[in-house]
Amino acid sequence: MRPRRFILRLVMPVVAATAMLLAPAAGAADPQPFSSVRGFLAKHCVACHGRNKQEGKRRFDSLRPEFSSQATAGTWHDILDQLRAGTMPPRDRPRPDPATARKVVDWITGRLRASGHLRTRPNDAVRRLNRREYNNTLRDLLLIDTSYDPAAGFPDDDRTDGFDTVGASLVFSPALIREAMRAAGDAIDRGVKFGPRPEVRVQRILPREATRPVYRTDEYVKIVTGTGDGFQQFRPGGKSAPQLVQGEYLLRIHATALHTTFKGVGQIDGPVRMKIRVGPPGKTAEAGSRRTIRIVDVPENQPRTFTVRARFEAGQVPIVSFANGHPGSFKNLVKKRYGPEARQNRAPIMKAYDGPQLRVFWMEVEGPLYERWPLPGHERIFGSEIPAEDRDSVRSTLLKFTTRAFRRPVTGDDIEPFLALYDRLRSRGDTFQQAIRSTLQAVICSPGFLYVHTNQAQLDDYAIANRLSYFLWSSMPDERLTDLARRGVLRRSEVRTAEATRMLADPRSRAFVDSFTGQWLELNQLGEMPPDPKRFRDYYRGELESAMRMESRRFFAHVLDKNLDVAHFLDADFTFLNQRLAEHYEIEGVEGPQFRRVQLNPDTPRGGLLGQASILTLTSNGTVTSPVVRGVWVLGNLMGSTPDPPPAGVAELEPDTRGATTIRDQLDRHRNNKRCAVCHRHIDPLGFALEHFDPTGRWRGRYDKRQPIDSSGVLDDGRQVRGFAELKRLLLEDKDRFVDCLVGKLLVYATGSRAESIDPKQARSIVDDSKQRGTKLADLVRLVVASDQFVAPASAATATQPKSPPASSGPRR
Amino acid sequence: MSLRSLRLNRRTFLRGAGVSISLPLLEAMSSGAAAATRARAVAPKRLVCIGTEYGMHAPAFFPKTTGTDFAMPELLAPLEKHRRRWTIIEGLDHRVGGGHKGVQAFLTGMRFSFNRGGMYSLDQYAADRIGSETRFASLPLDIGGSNSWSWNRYGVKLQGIGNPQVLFDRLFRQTSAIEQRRRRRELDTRNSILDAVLASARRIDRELGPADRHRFREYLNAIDETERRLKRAGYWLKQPKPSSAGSDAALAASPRGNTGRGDKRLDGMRSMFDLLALALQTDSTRIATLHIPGGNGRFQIDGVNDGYHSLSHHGQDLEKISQLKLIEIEYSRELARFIDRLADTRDGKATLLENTMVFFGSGMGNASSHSNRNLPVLVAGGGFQHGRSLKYEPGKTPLCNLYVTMLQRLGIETGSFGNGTSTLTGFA
Repeated sequence: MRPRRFILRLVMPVVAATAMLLAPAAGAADPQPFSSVRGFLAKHCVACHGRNKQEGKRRFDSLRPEFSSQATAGTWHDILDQLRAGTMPPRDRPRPDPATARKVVDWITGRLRASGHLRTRPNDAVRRLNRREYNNTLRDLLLIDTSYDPAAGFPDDDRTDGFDTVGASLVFSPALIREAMRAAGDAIDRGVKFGPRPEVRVQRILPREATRPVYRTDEYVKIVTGTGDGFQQFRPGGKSAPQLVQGEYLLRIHATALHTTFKGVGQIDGPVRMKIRVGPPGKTAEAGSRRTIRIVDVPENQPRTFTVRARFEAGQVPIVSFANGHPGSFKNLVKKRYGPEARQNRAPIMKAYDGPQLRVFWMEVEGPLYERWPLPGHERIFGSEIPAEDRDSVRSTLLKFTTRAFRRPVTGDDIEPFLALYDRLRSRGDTFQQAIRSTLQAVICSPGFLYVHTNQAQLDDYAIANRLSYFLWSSMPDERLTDLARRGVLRRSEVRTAEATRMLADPRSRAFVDSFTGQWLELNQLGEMPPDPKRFRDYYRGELESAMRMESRRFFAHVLDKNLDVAHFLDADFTFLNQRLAEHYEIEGVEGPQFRRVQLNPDTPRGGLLGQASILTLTSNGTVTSPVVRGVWVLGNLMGSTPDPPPAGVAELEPDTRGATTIRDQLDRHRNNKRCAVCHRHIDPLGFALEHFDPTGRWRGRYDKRQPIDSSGVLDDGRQVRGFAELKRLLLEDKDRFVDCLVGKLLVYATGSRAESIDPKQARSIVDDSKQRGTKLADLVRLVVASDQFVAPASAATATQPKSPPASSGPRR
Repeated sequence: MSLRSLRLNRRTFLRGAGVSISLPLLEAMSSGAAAATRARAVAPKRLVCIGTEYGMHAPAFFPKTTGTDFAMPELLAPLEKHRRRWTIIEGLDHRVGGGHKGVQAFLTGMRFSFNRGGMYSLDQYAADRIGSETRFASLPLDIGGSNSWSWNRYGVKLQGIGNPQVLFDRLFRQTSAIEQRRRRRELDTRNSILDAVLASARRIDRELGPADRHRFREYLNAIDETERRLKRAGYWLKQPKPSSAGSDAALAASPRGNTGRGDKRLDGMRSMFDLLALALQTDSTRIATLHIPGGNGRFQIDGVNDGYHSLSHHGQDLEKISQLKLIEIEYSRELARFIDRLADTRDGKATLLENTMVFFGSGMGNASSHSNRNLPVLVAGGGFQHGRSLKYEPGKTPLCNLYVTMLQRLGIETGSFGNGTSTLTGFA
């Protein structure tokens, strides 16, 4: 390789990185005479932005060092922006010498600042609401039930530095625009309904309306097997099926059970359990199109009416099935009980069936039900009277709505485009209702709604309010927060601290618990690589996976709500269990499906995050454990140093499920090869210490009859780890490191800044402050909220943060 | 504000912001009719890709010898009569593994993973470049379901049309005047909403730093492209659909129950092939794909008494293999019928077959061992030189090279696609 190109290849990434970090030296005099700046431009810019070519309509060859005119200052500012962002010169051009480039940046910055034209516009200052925030914001803006998941059709959110609140990865696409328009229109329709309250209808569904094939007489539908899909269910279909509009309904089902205690093929454990679902009427339904409302116990030979409340989407019908019935078709049941020839003769067997069965006599659907009329969302926008249709009223309604939707003060200019839309639609013949509906829809498709703005040099109070509420509630600010913003007091750290306490106590803070644990602990990954159903059949029994997830969430919530020391994440003498999970952990004395706090015996390995099956399962690959994946998880999520991915060309390990070699043998190469050892000496020992947990988080004494488990290792600093208990102890010794890591994660999640832009000094001071009071979780959250970083713009480039925000905010612009 | 003046405003705005943007690929907008007439004067090329989930049983599919005089393999018997219309190619693959997961690579050359981006299928790549001249840029089809092999340029998988009645309606059912009015009104509403949204967006753009502005461009581009699509939809709404009179379209579309089920599967395949031929003939589209599903349904074929999936995973059981072949030969039969039909249809000065590349294959080489090597490849039509059996050294030649050849035949200038870096040497 020729020397020059070689150097360029080496220097390019460094220069690119440096370019990103170029920050103007504060108050620098201009030591650089203009002639060298001009020389710089001539060398690196003028070829494309000069006499012969003007890329992007920009020309710099005759640019004067003149900063009082708006136009020229603007051009200099553009040059500054591009140099600082590293986008110019383009990647395929020779790189400028970093020292010279920095001097140029300093010079331009100094001149702009002196002339009053320096605009500090940070990057990563707008970010799109992610899917869950979008749903919650619609819920709170339109006062609708969003459990139907309005953002379901949106493309998945990507994550940066592990979190979906960082703008860099929240991209836009035409698919998203289309979906956003559709979701917006649908949401408005659910929250805004004109006219008088619709009549409530009661529709009865009789056995003859059940779609074939299921056994039925004139009096009842008989269900004898448990396959939820397929034909053993009572599902109305055809022309006489009830045509329901979207809404809430009361669903009544009159049913009984028979032969509950039958013993033999098809017997059940306990009472007959009836599963009540809602779904499409057709036979073929997409996976996930049926939603379970409830599962109830049905008493023997005592017909009674079960009543539940359920949301129906347009066109959906109720579907009833036998939840714990024989897990196979009726044909299969007959074959098992009577032999294969009997299958030809199923009809009389079904007619006289003497095994456990569910009999449903009728169903009834009553609704749509509205607790209030007009709907609360409608009333919020239009008031409770019939809305006035004159233009002034429309204008004032729009102003109010847009202010709430954009979550900050809005001027007449800001709503001009929407008023223009309204006018246009009316003039083409739309009614008031049609036109206002489309207008509201447009407001919630526009960037003012879809983006969270933090784009002032100092965040103003409204931006702080938004940041607070999306941090702790994943939704828009409530009245009180908005009021505090209006009064200009959120810039005061003690006010923010008090608000954080209030917000954590509010039920909406569960959104923080769920989404932070989902991302920090990677709980969202649980289920992506499900364990092999043959080798881990037990995993699929009794909803173990949800129980695992629930343990971690409940544990985090408890540490937060009781403001406990975060050291509990590393080791604790309690956890949260239900019966199923306790069985999995071989802990006795826990009965019932509800979760409760369970004190742990000292000899159990459980306690702390690393003993939780959720984390142990999501860090396995479905067939065998992977110390590397687990080690990376510990390093990245507990110790704050995510390792780089492996170099290209490294083949994946073939899992050896025959057990001939242990995973330790297979990873031997990591120790013996220097290139691998560089990273793997940090990673592998952490994972080996967890080897006693199998791919579903169960404790195992050995791999199998032949292979014992060796869970020892040596950490990179030389300390020995002789197993899981010792790992926990060593992590606790290093507790500061863990708190640093957790604070870093909280800051990224809360501010939407990239990890590299978090000011380490601020993070450190949060940790130090919290240490004085015992490093408790809610305290950490409060300290994060009170910090200067929390009120600084999100940023992609490292910049020195100002010490405190100014006493008064300037005009918002 | 008329759509036309809107477009000018958009361009001015975007340019005025001083950032160069790469405009979306579908350029031909307002002159749809003119473009279509122009295109028909020079007979346009078409592409049809048909893929199975479980491949074809290789020992009975690939000839034992190469060249032109090969003995006809068992599974290709229905195609023997017109052997000069097609070429069979052995030894190509996509260099991906993954068994059933690797099958998704069929038209993309890339294995699906949950990381965004990358999956962009051959048919969508072509449709983005030449699809604007027909009512449907492309038609991804299925049999009975809504699966497809198509991934668009944003890496989003498209839904296939699997119901013959639905396809018929899309192709031939004229939109009533009332419905046209309704739809036009809806398009107008959406356009107006986008105008308002864009005007609102401009105010924000001014306040952003350069990197944010760069990302915000995405948002603006997204709106731009959505408006183009609406415009396109508005144009086609006005055009009358072709007539289906005198064709067997209605018969093909007649409901047969759920053709996704095994016992109706072959009926469904026939319907889709027939409707596809009509779609090509009426120039409703020039790019189409057909997804032949897997599943364990039992086909209505004498001698077949086990599920398709179960047979395809035969584990070398001879009885299962012979039943599998009974199924797969039906695919060949339908394919032969389709090819012959295209050959019997005039298209300008040539036949429809000469102007249509028909590619039959799969992302699965051997379903029993879950190998994605040595994929089945059969190419007919398109004006290529046919009648041969070709064999490449396994693992050395990307199937995507064939895709490059096909793209060039469509008039698209490209030297690479997926992991293919040249045309397929030795073919055409």
